[in-house]
Parts: sequence; C-alpha cells; structure tokens
Amino acid sequence: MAYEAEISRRNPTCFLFLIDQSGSMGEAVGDGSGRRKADALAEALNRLLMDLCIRCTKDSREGVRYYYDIGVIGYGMKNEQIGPALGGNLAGKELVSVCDLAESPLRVEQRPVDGRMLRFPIWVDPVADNGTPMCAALRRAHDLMQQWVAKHQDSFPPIVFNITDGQATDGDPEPAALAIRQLATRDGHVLLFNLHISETPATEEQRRNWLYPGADKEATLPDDYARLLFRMSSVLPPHIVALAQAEGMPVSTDSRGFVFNAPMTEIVRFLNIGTQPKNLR
Amino acid sequence: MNTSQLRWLDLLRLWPWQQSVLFGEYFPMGRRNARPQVKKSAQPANQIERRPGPRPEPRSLPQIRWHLEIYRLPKLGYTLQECEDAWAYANKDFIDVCRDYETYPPRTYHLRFGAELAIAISDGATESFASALWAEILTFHAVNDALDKRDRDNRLQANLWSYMFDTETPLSNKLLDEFRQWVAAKAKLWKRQANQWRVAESGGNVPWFIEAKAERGSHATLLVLLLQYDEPSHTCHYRVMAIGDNCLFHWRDGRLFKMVPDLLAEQFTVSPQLIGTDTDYNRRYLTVEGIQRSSGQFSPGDQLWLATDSLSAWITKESQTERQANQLKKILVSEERQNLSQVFDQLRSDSRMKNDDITLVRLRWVD
Repeated sequence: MAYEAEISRRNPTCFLFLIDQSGSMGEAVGDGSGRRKADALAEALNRLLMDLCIRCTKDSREGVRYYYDIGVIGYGMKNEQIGPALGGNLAGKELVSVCDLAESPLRVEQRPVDGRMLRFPIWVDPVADNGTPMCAALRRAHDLMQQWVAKHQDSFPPIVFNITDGQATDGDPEPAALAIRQLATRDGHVLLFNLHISETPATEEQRRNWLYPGADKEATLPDDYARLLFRMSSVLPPHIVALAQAEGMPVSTDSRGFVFNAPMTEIVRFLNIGTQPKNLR
Repeated sequence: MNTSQLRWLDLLRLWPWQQSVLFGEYFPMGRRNARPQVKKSAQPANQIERRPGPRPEPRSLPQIRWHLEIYRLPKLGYTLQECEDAWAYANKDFIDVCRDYETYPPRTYHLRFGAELAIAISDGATESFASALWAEILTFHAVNDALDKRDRDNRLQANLWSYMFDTETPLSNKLLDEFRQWVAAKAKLWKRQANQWRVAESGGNVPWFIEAKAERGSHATLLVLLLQYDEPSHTCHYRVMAIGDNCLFHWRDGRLFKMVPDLLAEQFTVSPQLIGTDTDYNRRYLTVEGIQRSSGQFSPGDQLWLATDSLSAWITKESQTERQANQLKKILVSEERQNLSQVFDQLRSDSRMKNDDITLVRLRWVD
C-alpha cells in the first residue's frame, strides 16, 4: 500500500470527479466578480481536463497516450438526480479514456491569450438546480470504482474528488464514502478527497486550520457536517504531501484530502496538485 | 563473393576523407561538422544513414585502442521508437547518433595522440512534447560543436564548449548566457522539425491538444564527455559537463572511482535540472548552479560509463556498502560481461530498478 505504482499505458490510473450541481451552486463565489459557483467550477474543471489531456500528449505521431480513465458525475441535475456530466460525443459515458476525452470535447472555444487566439476545449457546462443527492453520487462512484479496480489491480489507485458547497439531501453519505475508501488495488486504497466551496466569513486562522486538516485540527472544524466530511476524506499519500509542501500549502503527513469553506482558488490549486502523477511512464 | 560485392566492400574501406568526397552529398550526417538536414515527416531514426567506422590510424603515430559499447533500452512494455533517451558520439572524422537499435555493436576505435572525442547522452522528459527529438538534437550538436574548433579560415580557436569544459575557471553569467543562446539556436531546429511533423501528421488540421502541448515546449537533460589522449603520460584526460541527473561513472580496478555529478541516491527525483526549448524557461531555471563540470585522468584498464538517471540512481544505491560494491562489480563491471540488456531488463522487471528508458555508454581502454 505504497502509492508507488507507475502510471503507464499498461497500468493507467483513474480520476473521478463528483460535482455538486444543486441550486445553491447558482450563488456568487464571493470574490466580487459576480460569477456563480457553478460557472467557476465548470471553468476550473474544463481547465483541469484540458491540462490532463495535454499532460498525456506525447507528439504529433502518437497523439494522446492512455494514462488515465476519467469520469465526471454531476449530482443535483433537473431531470435525473445523478449522471454523467460530459456532453457531446461522450454524453452518457461515466468513464472515458483520456484519449477519447481529448478527441471529443463538447465544443472548442477561441479565447484571446497574450494577444493571440488559443483554443480552449469545453466538456462540462455549468448547472445549478435542485437538491444535493451526494449519497447517490457516492454510491454510483463506489460501483464504478469497484469495477475499475477489479480490472486494474496493478495500477495506481483511483482518486475520487467530491466537490460540493452544501450538505447531502438524501441521507448520511459516510457509509458510501467508507465503502469507496475500502476499495483497493495492490498499490493502495482508493482515495476520496472532499472539497467544500464556500465564502462564509471566517478568521484567517480558521481558514488556515480548515485546509487539509490533520487529526489535530479536527476539533477546530466549525460543525458536525464539517467533521463528517473530514471523516469521509482519505489521508493524503506521501507524493501529494511533498508536492503540496513544495507549493507552500499547509499540509503535514497526516493531512486529509479535505478543504472546508475554501475559496475557488484553493479548490483549483488542490485539483492541480491532487492530479499530479508520481510515476508517469 | 562475386566481383560487384568486392567493389562495394572496397568502397567501405576507403579513408574517411575519401568517403566524404564520395558519399558526403548523400550522407551529410556521417561527416564531422555537418548540420542535420530537416526532412518532412521523417522521424530522426531514419534521418541519419549509418556509416562505417573510421579506419585505424597508422601504427607509426602514438595511439591507444579503446572499446565502445552503447545500450539504449526503452521502458519495459514500450518499443524502441518510444524511447526518449538519445546519445551521440564524434571524433574528428566521424559522428554517429542513436538509431533504431537497442545495442550498438561493441567496437574498438583508435585515438591518436592529441586527438579528441566527444560523447553525449540525453534523457527527454516524459511529460514534454517530442522530447526524443529534443534529446537527439542536443546530443548531436553538443558532440559536433564541442569538437568544432576551427573558424572559417580553418584556424584552431577556442569555442563556447572550450570554455564550458574549462573546469579551472568558474562558470560566469556571461558564459551561461552564451550557452543559453546556443540552446536557443538548437531550439529553433526543434521547433521547425516538430512543426513539420505536426502539419504532416494531421494534414494541416492540427488537433487542439497537439497545438497546446507544442506551446509548452520540450525538456531534456544533457551530459557531454570530452576525452583527449596524452601520449607522454599515457593517460587520457577527460572533461565532463552535466545538466540534470545523467551521470558519468569512472571505474578503476572494478571499483567506483569517481562520479559526476556526485549525487546521493535520494537526489534522483522526478524534477531534475532540464534544458528547455523555451527561452524564458532557460532564463529562469537553467542556472550556473545547475551545470556540473569536472575532469579526470583515464588510465589503461579503467572504464567510463555515461548513464541516464534510472541506471545512475540504481548504481548509486547499490554501491553504498562494500558488499554491495562487490556485488555490483560482479554484475556489471566485469569485462567478461558481454551484454547488459538482459541484466537491466531483469532488474526493472523485479522492480529493483525504476522502469525507465536506459542509456549506457561504456568506454574501456584496451591497452
């Protein structure tokens, strides 16, 4: 259980993003820009997916190398409570290879960067509607990861990112979270990281304590819900701790993959660190 | 053997300058000081034609014999075409670079008094775009330019590489800037070639991810060795320059005598010093501290190894104790050991060595 396995075509790994699409995601992010949380999250996710595709691109002959399976599950949608959030040719697919992801964005937008027009692929559009069926999303994630680890026992374990701004409206999510974390490849247990977006007023010290808390910081969390998310989250593996420390993030060896009441910038920062490979081959 | 075959063999036995006259136009890369020709949609493995090695120098001149052996192995589970390591070798007559073979057939060369040879290895960064091409360009031009000390009037003069290899003088920021300019000139070759492949492979409709990745450029390590025979002392003087975690190992009496750069096992990380194709990257990250230089004397019976990072890390780890050093000597340094490919495959398969591309250049003095 070392989280040491190389990530290669033969042994790819998996990233699954569970994104909260409930009504409260329609509120402003609180940075004064007027952007909704759903818009900011969709933007961050599209950039992250773009970065994952680029990371796997080798050269013009080979194109994108199959290092990752990637899934995006939305919860809180209008007609169906949970479901795949990718659109276009990938609509309805829960897990796709990074090669397919790169080839089939929903659309490719042109955006000006440093006086030039660059292409930006879009896979996920913002949605903010209805409740927060987090339990159903976690149960679906468990089923998907169970199938995936059965086929990839030599791989680096999958990482599930649960990005939310509110509480589950369909029950207690802890059993489903525990079930996910009990799944394992030969290299380690599946990792579940919970990222809670909010701009609720808090002191600087509180904010600092609520980013990647270890066991010693659990008592500083503001309420039962925060402590529930803490318990649901995996301890960060050593390579993520090292990367985060190099970035100046407040983590220690027992830090959990959990942020509470964090601004969108911190969510983006953690998504980037959390998806950095240790042994890409 | 019929008459026509004999004629071809006779041609191959010509002296290097005669070969240049006859073949130069068609095999420009076989000559020293030649520039690589960019061909549309051709991979580097096919760009450079193989040339026979140089004939031995006449016996009347002081000279030494030395043995060259090169391994270039892709990661387990990958093909040789996917290997992102590169090597290049040059003497005053002849230049050769890595191609589509795993083991460069062991061969014996002669080094005349005063003559120099250069060898370079490079490890293209896995997450970079077309990094094998960047590694090949760096190694080819490093060995070519390190020996290219004649001006347009054919007069000998010191060049950038003379100063880069001058270990007596600290590396100045001015020299570093000149080196960065040298890199920038080679990066233009990389961009031109990478762009041609890009257009050729996609028929003009370049996918967004290829365009975005190419924007990020490429990165590679580089280690260059310059060796010169000194007849009065019957030794070879070598100088080495390393950027990144490729290492030179100097073995004497079967033991590790010197290592450049002198890294500890834990210093082989996923983020070594790299040379980028992007000028801003090099201005920011390619620093004086990141360039390691050293020199030494190479004596009869000694071996010099140039190894990329995973092999270097393994050797470093395995030579920490006396018992390990003896084991290492038995496995690798023994002269009876003919082919190391199987040894490396086994070590990687057993997870004792990181599953990475491996390049090893082994030089042995045959007195």
